[in-house]
Amino acid sequence: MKLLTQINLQFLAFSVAVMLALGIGVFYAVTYVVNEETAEKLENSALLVQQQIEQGASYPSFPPFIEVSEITEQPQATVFADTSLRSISEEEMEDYRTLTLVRNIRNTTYKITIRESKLEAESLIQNIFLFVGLSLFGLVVCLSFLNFFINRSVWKPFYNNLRQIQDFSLQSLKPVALQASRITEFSVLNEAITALIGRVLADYQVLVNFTENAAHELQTPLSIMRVKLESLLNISTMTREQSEIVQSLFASVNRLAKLNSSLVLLTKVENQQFQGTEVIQIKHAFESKLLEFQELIDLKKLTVKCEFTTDFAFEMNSQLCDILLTNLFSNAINHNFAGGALNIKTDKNIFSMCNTIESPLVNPDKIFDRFYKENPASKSSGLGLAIVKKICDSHQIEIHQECVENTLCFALHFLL
Amino acid sequence: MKLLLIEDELELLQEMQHYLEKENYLCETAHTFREADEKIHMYPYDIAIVDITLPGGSGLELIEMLKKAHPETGIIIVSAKNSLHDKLSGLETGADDYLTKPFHLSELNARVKSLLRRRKFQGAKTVCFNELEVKLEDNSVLVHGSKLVLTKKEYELLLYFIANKNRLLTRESIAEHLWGDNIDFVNNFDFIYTHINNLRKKIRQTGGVDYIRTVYGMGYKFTDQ
Repeated sequence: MKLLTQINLQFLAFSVAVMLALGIGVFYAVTYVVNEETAEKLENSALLVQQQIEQGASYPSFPPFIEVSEITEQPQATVFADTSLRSISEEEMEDYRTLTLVRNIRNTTYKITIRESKLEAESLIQNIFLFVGLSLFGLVVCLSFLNFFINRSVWKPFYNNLRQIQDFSLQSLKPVALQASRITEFSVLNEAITALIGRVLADYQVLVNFTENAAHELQTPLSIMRVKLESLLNISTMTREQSEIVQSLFASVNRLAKLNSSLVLLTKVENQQFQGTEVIQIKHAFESKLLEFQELIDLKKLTVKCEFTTDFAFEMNSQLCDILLTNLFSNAINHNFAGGALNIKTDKNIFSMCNTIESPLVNPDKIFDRFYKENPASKSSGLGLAIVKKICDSHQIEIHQECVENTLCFALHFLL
Repeated sequence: MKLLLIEDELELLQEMQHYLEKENYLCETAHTFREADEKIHMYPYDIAIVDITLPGGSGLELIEMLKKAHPETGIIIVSAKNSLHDKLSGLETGADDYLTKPFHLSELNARVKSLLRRRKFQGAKTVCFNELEVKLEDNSVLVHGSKLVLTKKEYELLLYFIANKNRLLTRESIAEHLWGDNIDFVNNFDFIYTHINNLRKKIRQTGGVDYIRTVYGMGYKFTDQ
């Protein structure tokens, strides 16, 4: 839920609760005051009637409002009660507040009953309640709007900066331009984020530089070694023993060069230094790669079975796509045996590739690890599948391997 | 043919010069930006081989200058940075080819030859070696005038051999030439052996001479000596 929605909802909920509580409070208070007022009025009227009787005048009678009757001796009493009586004019029942007094005046016991219609009081209470309620409601509505607008303007720089941070990309090497704010917390946050991004950018730059330096500084001496050894190999006067030494050196230098370029590639993929994506038709990409490897497949006499039931487009860097497919194919062919099988198929957005292998894998879980080799004696760099995994991880591709007896399968799940 | 080699590593520069001079090219060298700058403006060259990272400036700038001074010069970039970005900007500036370090001298030689053919003869030409005749326009090969049917890789292999005739071609360089340097062959070069055997067989069957010599443990040599 958005912060502003949350704040507004909470504000509204509390306001409504307070409004209800105040409303109920006001209702009871007004009712109490009005009732007190009525009681006082009734008492005043009763006092007047009492005084008239004391002065010996004929006592007044305005039923149902004032009724006086002589009764037999009873103790003096003052009783308030609510009664319902038929109204004078209409055939409806009407509520009355009744004060019944029993008084001994000049040796006669009188029962004085004073009534007052509650209609008036009720309508008064209603009116007051309505007025107060509407005012409260209006207040809450106004405050909610006010709250909404204030929050929106206060949080605006925060949301702008959030968008900036979301759009931040390491590759662009552009520090984020955060909107300044007069609010202390926000400016502190901005400072912290700017510092953090600055550090990340600097670290990233260091890493990129290191990778490039490693590539350059190592490849140059490797180039020289390789070129010198090649010249040496071209000298035909070498003895067999000498040439064997040079050959072995040459092979090692080649391995070293290969290893270096693979490691640099891995780091580059990891640092997401491959920019620019293209929409790649997966079926076409696999078919053309298969064609590229056709001669190697023929040389190993592999039986290839292709089932491309679906085709789909996937957006990724074309260079990486090429490396991914090359590594998958060369892995499937290298570790195959002569006359083995290679099955390729696409199903929906899953591409799978199964090849026969000479013996079941010892550690199938480690197959994507760097420098892991099933056969330690192998001269392979042990980086091919690590690169495959890294490329998959850096794109929306899930890769799984499955090894059943002498068949190794890779399934690439392209998350479209 | 006059070549200009621009490379800051003297050792590498020397080896490149030796190798290419044996092909009877006239090679001028430059190992700094300034030296290269002077030479570019002084003489015209058929081909310039340019390293991107140079002390005193960028090879890309040199290429721009070269293109202005002598637009007919063929340019091959040699870079330690295997980055697509560099490659694209290099080719955009006007370079014809791009080679990543470490490279094989035989590969450089083949690229120089191919570029020379494209530059000098407007692309249409045949490459001959005794009775072998490679027609570049339609990728066909004739032996004594009769057609030799080769696969794509065998054709590339033959061209590579002819470009580097009388030289030792290591298995590594052949593998890289045919398959590019992204591929990991587990140092297993059986497939090259098979390719070469097929090529030999086909040439012999068509009545040609098998010029491919195996150099034990190292590679192959294409020679009629």
